[in-house]
Amino acid sequence: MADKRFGMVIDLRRCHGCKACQVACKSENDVPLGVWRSWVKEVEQGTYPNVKRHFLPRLCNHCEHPACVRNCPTGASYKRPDGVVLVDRNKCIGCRYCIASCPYQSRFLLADEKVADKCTFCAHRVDQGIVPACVNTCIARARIFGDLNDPNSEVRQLVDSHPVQVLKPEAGQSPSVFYIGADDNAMRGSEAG
Amino acid sequence: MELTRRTFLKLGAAGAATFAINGSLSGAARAMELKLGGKDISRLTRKERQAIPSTCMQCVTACGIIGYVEDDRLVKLEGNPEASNNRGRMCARGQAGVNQVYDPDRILYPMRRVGQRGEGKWKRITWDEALNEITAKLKAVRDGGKPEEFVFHYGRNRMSWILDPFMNAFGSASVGNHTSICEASKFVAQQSMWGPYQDVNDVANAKYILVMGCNPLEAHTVHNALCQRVIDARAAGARMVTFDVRLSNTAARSDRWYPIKPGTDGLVALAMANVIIQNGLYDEEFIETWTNVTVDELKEHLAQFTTEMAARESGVPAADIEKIAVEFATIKPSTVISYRGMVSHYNGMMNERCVMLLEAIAGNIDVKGGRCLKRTGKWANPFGSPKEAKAKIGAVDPKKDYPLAAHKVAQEVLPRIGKGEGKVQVYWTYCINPPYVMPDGNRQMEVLKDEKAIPFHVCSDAYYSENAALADLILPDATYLERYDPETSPSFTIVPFIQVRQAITNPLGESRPTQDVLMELARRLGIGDFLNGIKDSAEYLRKAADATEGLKDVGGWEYIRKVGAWYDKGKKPDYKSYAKELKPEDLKPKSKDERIVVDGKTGTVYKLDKDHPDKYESDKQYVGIRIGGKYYKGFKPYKFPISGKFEIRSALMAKYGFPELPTYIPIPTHQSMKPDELILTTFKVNVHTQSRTQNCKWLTEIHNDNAVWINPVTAAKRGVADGDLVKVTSKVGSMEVRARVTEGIHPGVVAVSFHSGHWQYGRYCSGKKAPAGVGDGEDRHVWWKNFGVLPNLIIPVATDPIGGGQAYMDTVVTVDKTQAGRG
Amino acid sequence: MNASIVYDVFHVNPFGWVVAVYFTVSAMAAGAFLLAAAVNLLGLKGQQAVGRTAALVAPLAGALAGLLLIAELGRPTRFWRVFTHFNPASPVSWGAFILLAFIIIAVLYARTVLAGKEEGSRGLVAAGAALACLIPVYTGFELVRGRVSPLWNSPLIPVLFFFAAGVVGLSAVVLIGSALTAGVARRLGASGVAAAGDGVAPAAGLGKTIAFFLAGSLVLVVIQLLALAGASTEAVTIVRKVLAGRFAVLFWGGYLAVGTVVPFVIFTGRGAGNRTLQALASLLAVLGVFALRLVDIIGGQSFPLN
Repeated sequence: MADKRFGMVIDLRRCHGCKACQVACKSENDVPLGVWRSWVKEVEQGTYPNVKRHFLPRLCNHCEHPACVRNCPTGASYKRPDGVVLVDRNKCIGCRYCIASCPYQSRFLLADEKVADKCTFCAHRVDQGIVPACVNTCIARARIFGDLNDPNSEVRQLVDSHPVQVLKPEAGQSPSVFYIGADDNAMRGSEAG
Repeated sequence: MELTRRTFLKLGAAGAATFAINGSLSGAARAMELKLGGKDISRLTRKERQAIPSTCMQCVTACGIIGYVEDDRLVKLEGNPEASNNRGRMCARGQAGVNQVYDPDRILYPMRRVGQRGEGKWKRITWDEALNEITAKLKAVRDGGKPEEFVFHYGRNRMSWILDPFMNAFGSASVGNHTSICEASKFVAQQSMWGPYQDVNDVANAKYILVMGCNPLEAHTVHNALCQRVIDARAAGARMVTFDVRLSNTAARSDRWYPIKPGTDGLVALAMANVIIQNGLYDEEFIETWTNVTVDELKEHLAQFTTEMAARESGVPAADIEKIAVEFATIKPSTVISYRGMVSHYNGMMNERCVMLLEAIAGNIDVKGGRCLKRTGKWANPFGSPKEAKAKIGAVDPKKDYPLAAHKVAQEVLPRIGKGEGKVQVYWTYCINPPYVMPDGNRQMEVLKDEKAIPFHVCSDAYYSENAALADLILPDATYLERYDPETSPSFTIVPFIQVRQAITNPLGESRPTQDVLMELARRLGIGDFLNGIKDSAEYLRKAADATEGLKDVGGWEYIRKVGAWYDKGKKPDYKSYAKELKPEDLKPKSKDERIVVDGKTGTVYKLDKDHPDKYESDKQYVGIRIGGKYYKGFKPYKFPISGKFEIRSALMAKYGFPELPTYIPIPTHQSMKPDELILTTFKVNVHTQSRTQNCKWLTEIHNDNAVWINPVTAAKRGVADGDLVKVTSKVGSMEVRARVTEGIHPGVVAVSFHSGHWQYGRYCSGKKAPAGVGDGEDRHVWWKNFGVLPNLIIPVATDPIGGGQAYMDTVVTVDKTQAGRG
Repeated sequence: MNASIVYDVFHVNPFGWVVAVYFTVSAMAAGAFLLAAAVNLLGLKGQQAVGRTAALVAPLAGALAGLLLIAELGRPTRFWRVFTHFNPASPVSWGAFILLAFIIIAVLYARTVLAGKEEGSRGLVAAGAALACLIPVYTGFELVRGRVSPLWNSPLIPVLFFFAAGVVGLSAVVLIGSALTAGVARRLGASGVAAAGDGVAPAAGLGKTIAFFLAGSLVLVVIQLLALAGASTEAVTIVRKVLAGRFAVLFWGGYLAVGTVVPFVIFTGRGAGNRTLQALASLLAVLGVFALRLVDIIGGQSFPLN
């Protein structure tokens, strides 16, 4: 059987921007203040009274072709056979090229440890058969996690049966995080107001 | 229970909803997927963490949680999959509960004031010293024959199991609360119509959801449970329309958002009711059988509330009101979710009566997918029941001015004490923060500082709140994660449940649960007979669990301490509970003093006894209702002795000179507004609960500073650009705050959240260490420097004359650009 | 339709001004060595003192670049890890080995120069020159491959860095040469040529060469900005920031006026023979390159990616 490839589908028809994922991640992974492995961007658009607000939960895309791993000089950043992209804290020298090269700004330098850090898909939980903390707490059940290589998994079936989107497909990273119903403006990086 | 996503999908209606949105999932899906929860692994050691179920108290929802412990330290909280309301999930606030325990500004030992009150000088004392002092003071109060001069004022009280008998045994009914700064007017309206306060919108089964003046996707009583089911219903195709002054996340996730002038929601509900009645779309059977009015009476009464009139007042187009009314009456099941935006007004109580009327004529009362009565679980009580205390000072319950304010008038307690409406010897505050949460905070503070009005102020708190700063003695409370309570909450499965709150970790430092302190004091004061020898809250809960009906059959304490929650797995939702017929034995007197009689006019069946020998005057006398020769459970009264029918016409209201039928009461202060004046409303965000979560660094990292929302048109008239500092002025004060210019707000309204602007409560939200703050927490990583403003300081005390609720959403203000300009 | 971000988290930019210093200093090492190599390999008559000065500047600048690179790491004590692992896809990995090899060769060559035996080390010089050519290429690629940023993802960047190496490498030699005492200058000019007064006097051709690199740099910068001005929204935003926004002073004043036009005029004008003016022009040219690197690095990160 083929290797697993873990992935996530975020169904934005259900997400209501509660940020439970954002806080669950801080707690589960002891993430310091000022840096985020997981966050929810909010974008407002329209003219009164026809106004909409869109939510875009963000995390590491655990790309199939991750620029961070390509650019890491020490092998600290690596991709596991199951697709999870991780940082080996003992090997990381803090050169920050992975941070610079991530098209999604999913990485950051830990202020105390001075090594690169990011979402791990909660590998410590996933390895023991439990979904990531953000998926566990998602009030809306907007986050679905599983094996993209398993034709029977819910993530695979959602990806196959819905017009899913990924962030910045042009960056050529092949993300493993897919969105359903994402708004173009929310997905764009522009700061133009 | 092994809860995986797959098994989750198979669970009930929620599962069906998930399937619906996720489209054509293969039915042959293999059961390989990961577990959704119930287990947590240490990130560092990869070992499984110890799991202890309990109940959240970051808000009043009471979600079932699991605390994960590693090396005796609470490291993570998750939703408990066994809890039927929150189904294993938790909001941001709940997730941040860990911060409550390890807040570096926690108070960890008793402290006595040494300088002037409010000066901030404290001396550490022992628990024995503290308890000796309180015991002496309370003994003196009691021995003086005026027990009511001991006033206990609580906010979030989940310990009435000990507080009520304690205060009764002491002999004081001077107990203040905080309901009227939230939803008291809603509760009073409901009690005047269907008996119990609170409702459960059975949205999981609804096809049409009308949201009026509330924000169930961000904040609500029983928020998480309701929010999940709104999302499930939406995913299954339910429509949702929201009336709100601003684009809340709920409004943003609705099919339509209707900005509406504050305080006119009730009128819109009346106009919709009128459309439904005039078009014959009403539930005739319910109106004619179960309410105390006829269709014809309603037709006549409602005719005045035309959609044009409602449009004129509210700004919602008449055609839209008509369309929504027809949809509401025909796309069934339907329901209205209403909360503080509806009731936190001068006319709040009446507004809720209008919504209840709308629900009733559409046939939504206690039906599947409609507005249901609450179902809550019942714990056994191993305590004795001391005689109910009656003596109280006028300030805590001003019935003379607010005869129907059944949930009291919290915002007026301190101002009235300041005016001398009842002498106070000891004022004990618990889980409440009047200077911060009450309107006109400066006035509240003046009274708290006044040693003549309040000679001795004891404060039980885990944190150095603005209130604790004005105390004479601070008792370090345990957090909700270090204590024991029997818990329940209105059930969104319509099957009642109970949950346990148990200590996940031992109380930090010398902190001690107030529950245990009250038990200790009862013993010291010699009023502890009711304790039945129970030592502490842990023992109380063990005994309660082992005696609770149903739970005791599955193992009592041993079951619930491991599982965290219990409900009768065989029980199905009992919709239309009011239509349940009484059994013959229900109609028989329970003792020889009792007589069961039927009111010939109303059909109310009630008992007469020695306390109530000749007339129906107390809800405790109610037995049922006779309709067409049959006896039913009816709408069981709570506090107000209503008939047992759904009372659209209220004799109770008429008795005190209020309109007996639901009607529109224009807000007086809004009738004479000058062209440049605006209405200030306040709101909650999805990562904070009122005043008590800002010490949680993970939440305050998300929401620390606040800004006043202002429409671009309104802003342009004042030369205000996004980010400018503006001065917002009311009749009691002014505040300088950043403007957030947004299309998502009514041009006649400015809105600001009320979680910021702390001047105490620790470093994360005030920038100031508490006097007993220890360590540097995560100070080095704190990146935010602005702590926002507190709108309550410029909101006057303004009470709904019927319901007693504070009219937070009515404040008339002016908004000007400040000299400083850009902030 | 206007859309505005109402909530997002911030991201601390990974690279700051130290990286700009490193890029400048490494370019200096490369440029200086190439100058030394040119003098040696092409046998440029009358430039031996210049070549020797350059041969000494190169290892010093190279070592400084290496130290900066290490100091700038989050975990400097772990710098050795880049040498126990080779990732052919990572410009940083290549760069570490290139820079190390370059420093070793530059030091060896400096020793032969100090021993006065440089004429017999053509192989060493050739190898060093090849590595020196790679330094602006790999540092350029660190940007090209560094981030999804219009200022960085341009194939012109390595070429631009090569021209920058020419500017700062040669300028450093001029600057340092003019600051040397007479004694040192005499030693460097031991073969008896071009040692005069109290410094190493560069031939006028050196200034002209710097001017050539300055002009070349400018042409590349203009091409890059023109290309970006019509590209994506982000690119247009960045160009606007560089030309009229946050980075305008650094760009127009620092890079263009002070760092390019003034030295160009001095090197090509009547002041070309004035040693003080030449030193000043060299200093300004180095600062100009540094200013441009600051614009590149900080400007290139000055917008949110998502």
